[in-house]
Amino acid sequence: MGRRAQIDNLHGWLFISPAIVIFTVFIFAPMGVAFFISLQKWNMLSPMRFVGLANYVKMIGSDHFWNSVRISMLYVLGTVPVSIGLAMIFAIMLNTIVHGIAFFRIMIYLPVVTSMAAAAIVFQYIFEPTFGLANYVLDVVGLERMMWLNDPNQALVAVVIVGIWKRVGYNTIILLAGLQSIPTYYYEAATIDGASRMQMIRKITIPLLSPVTFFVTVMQIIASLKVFTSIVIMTNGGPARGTDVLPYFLYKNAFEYHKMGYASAVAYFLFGAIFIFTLAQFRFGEKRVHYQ
Amino acid sequence: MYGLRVYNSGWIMDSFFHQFGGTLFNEDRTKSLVNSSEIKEAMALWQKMVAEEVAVYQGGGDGSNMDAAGQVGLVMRSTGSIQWFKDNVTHDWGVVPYAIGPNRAVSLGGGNVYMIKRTTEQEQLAAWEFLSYLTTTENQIHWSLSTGYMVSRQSAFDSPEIQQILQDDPRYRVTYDQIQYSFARPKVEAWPEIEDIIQEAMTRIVLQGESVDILDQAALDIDELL
Amino acid sequence: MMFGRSKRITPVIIAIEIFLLAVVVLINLPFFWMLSTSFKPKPEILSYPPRLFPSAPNFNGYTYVWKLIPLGRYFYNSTVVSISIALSKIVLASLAAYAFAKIRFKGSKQMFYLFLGTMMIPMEVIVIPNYITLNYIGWLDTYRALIVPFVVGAFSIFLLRQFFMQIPRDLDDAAEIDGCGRLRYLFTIIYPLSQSALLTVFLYAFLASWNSFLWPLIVTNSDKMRVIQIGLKALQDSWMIEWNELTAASTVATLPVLIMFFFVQKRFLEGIAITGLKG
Repeated sequence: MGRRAQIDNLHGWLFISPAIVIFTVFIFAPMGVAFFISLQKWNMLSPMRFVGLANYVKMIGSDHFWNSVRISMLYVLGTVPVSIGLAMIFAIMLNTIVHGIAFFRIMIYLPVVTSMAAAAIVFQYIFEPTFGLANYVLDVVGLERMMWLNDPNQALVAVVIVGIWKRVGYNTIILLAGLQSIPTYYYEAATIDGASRMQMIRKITIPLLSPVTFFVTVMQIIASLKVFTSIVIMTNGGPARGTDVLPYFLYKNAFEYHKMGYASAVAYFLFGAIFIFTLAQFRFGEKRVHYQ
Repeated sequence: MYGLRVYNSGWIMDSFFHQFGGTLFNEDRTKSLVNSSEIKEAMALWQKMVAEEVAVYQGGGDGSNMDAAGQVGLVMRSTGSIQWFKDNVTHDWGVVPYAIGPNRAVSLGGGNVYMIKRTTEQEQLAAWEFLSYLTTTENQIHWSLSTGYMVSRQSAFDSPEIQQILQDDPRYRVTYDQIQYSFARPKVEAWPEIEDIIQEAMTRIVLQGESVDILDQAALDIDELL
Repeated sequence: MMFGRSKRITPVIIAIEIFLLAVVVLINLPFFWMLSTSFKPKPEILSYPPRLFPSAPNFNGYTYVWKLIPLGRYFYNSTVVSISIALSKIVLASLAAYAFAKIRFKGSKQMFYLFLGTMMIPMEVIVIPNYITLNYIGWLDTYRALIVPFVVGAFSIFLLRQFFMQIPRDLDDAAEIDGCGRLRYLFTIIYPLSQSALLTVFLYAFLASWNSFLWPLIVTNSDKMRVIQIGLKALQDSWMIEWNELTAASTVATLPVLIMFFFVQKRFLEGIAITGLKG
């Protein structure tokens, strides 16, 4: 090895060393530690006791755990399709209009940069059953009032609405960028062939946009699986576990019940679920990006 | 407007169950008695009252708002909220001992102050100093007058300030009058999780109209934690 | 552009614009509601039907909440933490990004992918061991706990690497001939050329840190160390829900990022679009 190459090696590793230290201490090592803890019974006060896979067995056998899996899945199913469907409509519209595109882009994005804690507080007020804005709207439209956060089933609807509100702007901006990257000659050719607007959307826009749509879908699924702040502020997982999503279930077991081992097993389950979607993005997302 | 506001805090439910003769645990706290016929009877009453809209099931800040707005006739609350009522409630109100079930019973206690044994000597000395400060006669008087909580010292109770307020405002007297009906709440390590289990069952019974027999499953879940 | 370069203004387009305007109004209604409520006198908060505007706006929500919780301290903590994280991310991420973009060293490719891999591990999953680590070294409830785990991040490295790679090789070679050391080259040549990328990193980092919730919720417990998002939670947990106070505090917690966003929205939205469309 030449002197030059030696210096390059040294410099390269030196320059990335701060990142290596931080990632090792706060990300890689904790992954190992989390697994180790998941094999213990431990409340942080008494000494650890090795229990093998007992925490995982207990998790699989727990109704509360499966309830959280179900709630998380419902949350994903409620948030992701709607927030992407709406975003698709908004993006196509934004790509069509003439005035105020910049204005709309900014205004639609405000919820994304807003703190979820603050937004959740305002939505809690909006969903208040006796004098809240949400029920006022229902009254005006002539629909039946709802109990919103006070009802075990309706509470999930309320937090899903907040999730959609928070994410639709992000999806819109990304889909819009995707739309703008579709070459115009496709549309010009279609116009010459006498295609209608709807036909062009169906035959050109949606297929060519599919890689971007796939990307936002995966991003949204992952984000929805991690939903936490709105739950803590608005419902505390209730009523009657009606909004007890997995991250909240994990948090409660770890930091309120002090079952560190059990919570770590749940953390690994959550990691597995998220990992599957991340891998999907890496494997299929990359390939289909080059659509031309 | 509701006749009564109920909610599922541990303090309130424990008192309420006791009034029906029920207790949450057996004597040595190895088994849950949350599915006893007494507690089921108590829960069935709550369910009935809420279903008939005689009572409302609402806790937390929203519940306090209802109290302040005069939307409820009766509410089960801590004596520690007397001063809060004085500050926030504009309509006329009074205080009576808990009396919903057949027996008089009230859980006596509060957020306790603990000193942790497994710490350094220095920390223990500091903790002791703080505890001593917290429980001086003077501070106990101040504490009680600002909240309505019971003083924890005889000397504070005998002080002119406390005697004066008991004389001037009979609502404070309930705190001491009901001591004769009081019981201590059992301490169990897994209480946070147990409370969640009971609260979940209560919400399902009261709001969703499920049978009080779901308390059988709750009892099994709690037994696993004891 | 979807239907060719020359867009004509047709009634359909005007209709779509009006529809979008309605959408934007609806989406931003919670912000309006937050502001309006924070200035309302008490009786109007619980009035039904709800009042759109306060009849006589007052600052009581703000002054009361200021007395009730140390909002100023929370705000200060959030600012210190977010700025520290954003600045250190610029420095530490640019070092790594520079190495990956400009230095040929053994294992650079593997390390780059390993770094990217950190993005696959969500905070939710490693929060328990990290809490235990900080508890063990006695960092709980300190600025260090809030800052140190986030002083560098794969996303920032990735973003800066993409940018640094576009800086022409000639410049690197010229610097080398001048005998310019690598750190000096990074700070005096690359930094000035990458202002926009560095600013983007700063903004993302600041925003993510300002709005973060789970981690500060777990590692802080005193008023001295609490950040503003957790302050909101503490306020909400208090005895009575005073919506004018809660919305006043929420406004204080939201305003800095909203203002910042308005100033830099162009760069910000472009950055989002780029990351979404494959870097």
